[in-house]
Amino acid sequence: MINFLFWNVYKKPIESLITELALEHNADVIMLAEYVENPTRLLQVINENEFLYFLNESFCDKIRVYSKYRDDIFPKFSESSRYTIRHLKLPGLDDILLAVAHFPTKTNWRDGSQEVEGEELAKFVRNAENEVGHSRTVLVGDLNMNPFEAGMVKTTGLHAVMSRQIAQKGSRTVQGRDYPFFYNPMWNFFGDFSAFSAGTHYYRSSEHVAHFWNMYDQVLVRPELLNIFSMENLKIIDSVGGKSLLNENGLPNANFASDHLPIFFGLNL
Amino acid sequence: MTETNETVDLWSEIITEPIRTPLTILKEQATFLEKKTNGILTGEIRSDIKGGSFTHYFYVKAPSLSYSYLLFAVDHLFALFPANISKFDDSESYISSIPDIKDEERFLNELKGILQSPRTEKVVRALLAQSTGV
Repeated sequence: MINFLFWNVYKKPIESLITELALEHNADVIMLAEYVENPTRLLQVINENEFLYFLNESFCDKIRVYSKYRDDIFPKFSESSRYTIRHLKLPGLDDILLAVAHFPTKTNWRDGSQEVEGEELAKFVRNAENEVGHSRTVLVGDLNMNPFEAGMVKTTGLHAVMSRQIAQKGSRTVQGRDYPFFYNPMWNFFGDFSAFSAGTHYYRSSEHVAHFWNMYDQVLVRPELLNIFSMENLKIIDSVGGKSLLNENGLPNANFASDHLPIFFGLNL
Repeated sequence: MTETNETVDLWSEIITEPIRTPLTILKEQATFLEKKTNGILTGEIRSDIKGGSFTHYFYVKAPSLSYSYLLFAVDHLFALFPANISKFDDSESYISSIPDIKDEERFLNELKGILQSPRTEKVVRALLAQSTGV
């Protein structure tokens, strides 16, 4: 099992917490958004007792990727300022593409602009898939859109559906054109019936329409990887080493850690 | 004259004990650098095989700067030894070489000389300072 951890750390220098989280969950790949510290700072903390993680080279400074893998088996494949695609080529295993993204916040961007960005990311991913010759792709990140928003679900966007059964069909034809699916398992975690917090981010808007909890941090999986994607291991994490990441009201505690909760998932490669 | 259909193994005994190749040794030294610097610097080996010659370029890499510095290169034929070590200047132009290193022990000795040299120390210190100070 290859374990992946994603966290928007809200520009906080919480290296000890990230380290504890990564070690607690035996993360093989750590992806951080809004980590604005010198990237070597985390290396000095996380590798202090035992050398475990490399900083994977990247020109995308919105995302930092640390992993147990050297760049030669986990090289960057293509990048832009807000997303990076890496090619994980573990010896003897099927290679996969790992796309990591951090979209602009809703404070700065209107829905329409985010929707366009979703289209651009979808194109970026499809180009990488065409180049590598397969669609064994995982996309993870703080997409600053909820799973139900147009940029997430429409054909020319990320085309991420809530049902595994639908995603398994591979693609959908609209007006004679084929659009590949992503499966978005984060749909399962909305609301109080989830075993985890009702979302990954909380914002109480003063507008008439407010969702309160948002599922901005998501992992999307192409149908080719559905059989190795571990649903049992997918979680929204709300505590680290017995310390809660939530405040007394059960909301992400930005004073202690971040306004986003980390997500964790595994692939049975 | 009798004919036989039995197959005969004409090979001598093949020793399958692992041999420490120059590449293995370079990888070990890369790992030592990574441990000593908590991964702020890594050792990167880029290998090339041309005309029966194996060449391994050893870079000191600073991932946070997306920068690699060519420290030296080792080349040898299929038999591993003798090997040669080539040295380069800061702009990756060839300066000189240590030729005809006959065995692993001498190779380790020459490598120690390079890794502990004032030049390597200067490179490592400069890259560490720039990596952590950005």
